[in-house]
Amino acid sequence: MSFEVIIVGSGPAGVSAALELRDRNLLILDVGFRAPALPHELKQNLYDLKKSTEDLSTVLLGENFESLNNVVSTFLTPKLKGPLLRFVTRDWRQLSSIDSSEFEGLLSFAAGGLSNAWGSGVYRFSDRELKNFPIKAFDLDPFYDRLTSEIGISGCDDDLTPFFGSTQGLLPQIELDRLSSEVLKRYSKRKRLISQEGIYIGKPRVALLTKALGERQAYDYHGLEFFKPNIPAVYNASYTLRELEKQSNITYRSGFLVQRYEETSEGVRVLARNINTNITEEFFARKLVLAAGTISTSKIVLSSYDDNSTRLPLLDNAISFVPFIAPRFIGSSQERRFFAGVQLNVVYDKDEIDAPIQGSFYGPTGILRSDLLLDLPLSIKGNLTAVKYVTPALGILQLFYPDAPNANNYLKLNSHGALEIRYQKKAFGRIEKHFISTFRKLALFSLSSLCKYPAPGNSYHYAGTLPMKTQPQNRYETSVNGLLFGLKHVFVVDAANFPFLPSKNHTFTIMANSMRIAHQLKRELGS
Amino acid sequence: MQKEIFSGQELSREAEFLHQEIFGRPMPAEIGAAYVSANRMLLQDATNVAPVRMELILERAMDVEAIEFALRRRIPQNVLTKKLLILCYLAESRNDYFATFVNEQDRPLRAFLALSLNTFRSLYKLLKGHCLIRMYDVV
Repeated sequence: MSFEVIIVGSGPAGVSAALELRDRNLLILDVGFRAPALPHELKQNLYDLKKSTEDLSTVLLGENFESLNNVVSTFLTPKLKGPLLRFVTRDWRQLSSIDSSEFEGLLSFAAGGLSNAWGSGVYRFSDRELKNFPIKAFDLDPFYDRLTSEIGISGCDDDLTPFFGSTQGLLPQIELDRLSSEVLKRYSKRKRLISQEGIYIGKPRVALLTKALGERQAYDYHGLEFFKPNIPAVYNASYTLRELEKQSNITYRSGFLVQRYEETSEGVRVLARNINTNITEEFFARKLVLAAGTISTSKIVLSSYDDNSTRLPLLDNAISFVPFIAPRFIGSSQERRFFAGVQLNVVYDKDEIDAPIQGSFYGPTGILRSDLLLDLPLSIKGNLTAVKYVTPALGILQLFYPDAPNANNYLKLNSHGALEIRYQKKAFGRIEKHFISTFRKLALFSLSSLCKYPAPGNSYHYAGTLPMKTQPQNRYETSVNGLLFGLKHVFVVDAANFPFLPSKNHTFTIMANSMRIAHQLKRELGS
Repeated sequence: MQKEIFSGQELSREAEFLHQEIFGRPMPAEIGAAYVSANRMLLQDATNVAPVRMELILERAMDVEAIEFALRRRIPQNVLTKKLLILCYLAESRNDYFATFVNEQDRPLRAFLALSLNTFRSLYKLLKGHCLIRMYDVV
């Protein structure tokens, strides 16, 4: 069976391309693991559920103690270790292992990809952030606008608008928790002092519905983001996939791991392994759109050339965590109504830096208290008391750093066809100290010794392996329209084609750019 | 790791002892059963976790809080810390421990007093733990 276009992957890049090409004869190939059924209805907020349910271990800990992952295994972010969210990273090592001693990244083979567990921050790239791209912000604006109305984004006009761009079509802002409201109030009073330090604070732009949109209800502030998959108000790409699957001209085939492609004069032959039968099957289309995520897309391209020597540049947002305490909230009662994700965004921007550094500020009330137990400085019984009284006073600033190509950071295939990644850890601390000293003006206190600097790969924001260039020079560069150099039918639409990675969460731009490329492709396909 | 400690009976006895030490009350049977499963699933084949002589701690009914605190500072990846953390996770998922983990009313004064007391108490436990480790060779 032949298709006009085959799209590989159903994450944000894949569904955005499919959305633009929805009137075409499309095949979406995907491994496509889905979320498990909920063992409880989970219709109350996290704390009422914990109080009223005798045993919530299947939801909070998992039947195989998935939530206890970090007790003995490599660190997993609280969201990915939630038992009902483990499908997001299910079997990734078996399907595509990564050989690396310093890179702690992971892959998703779920329907909707990593967007099932994202922070849902959505930000437009500015011209300054796109300066190494062969496109400008105005090339992306129409697609940002369309996506804004399609997925529903809440936000507002505030001090961060110059960094985040147009407020057109935004839904009302999210309700903030007590601590973040207080921080924002103090910031408003001391704005001049804080901004002199290059720091700006505002409300986040999140793909979260504060008003109903279509069949999706407005957010209920139950704070279950770390435990409950597919909360309708919090967008993920599987919602768009579900809508697209309803169309008769769109075929979605899950259970297929695409391994390579071969271009012919008429189009592209795609070879994919059926993960249930282990048999490789062939699919054919006029055009192929690679949207499997930076690392998987790169693997497919390298495998298609049987190339186990070329090193592709890899970009990753380095991250750090700075915990803060607001003493006036110690001993406060636990709020029942809250959003467990980002509460405030923070931007650090000074003339001497190339691109702004962005941060997300959130409270730890949405995770298990036991997750914090060993991060506190007392004995285990002392720490139990501390998590009880101190958690409402804690805020965590997660900083994201931009990244540019560097010869030491690369991805390649090894001789066995597996991925090998090398990535040098960066030196941090200066910016964190600056935030710690400035945030004292907001009555938020911390020590630089408490900051954490996870290994590379932990942002799960990867990019840059097959960069877009005005004039691509080799087969691992892509044109402005995402076409792989030297080929006629193979397009890259995920972040693999980003030549630079700003500090902002790149998902919204992946989606807009994917739509932009699909828009060009649609024209090329003709009517 | 000391494999012999993973017999169900030993683990149940261990769970009961640790639970009493940390939460100061008898342990529900469900937590005991889950503790046995979690230990087998997570710790049996764990590498890079320093062993601790649990049988000695249980036999002498030693001050687990003190030993764990001192050990955590010397060997963060030790099995006693892991076992206590597992126990806390199991307790947190049950509603009869809700008040242990969550503060439902504004109580700044109580919080201040509790945290101050626990700071001094932790210092005492740290010293005691170092002494116990030295005296009894628990690692």
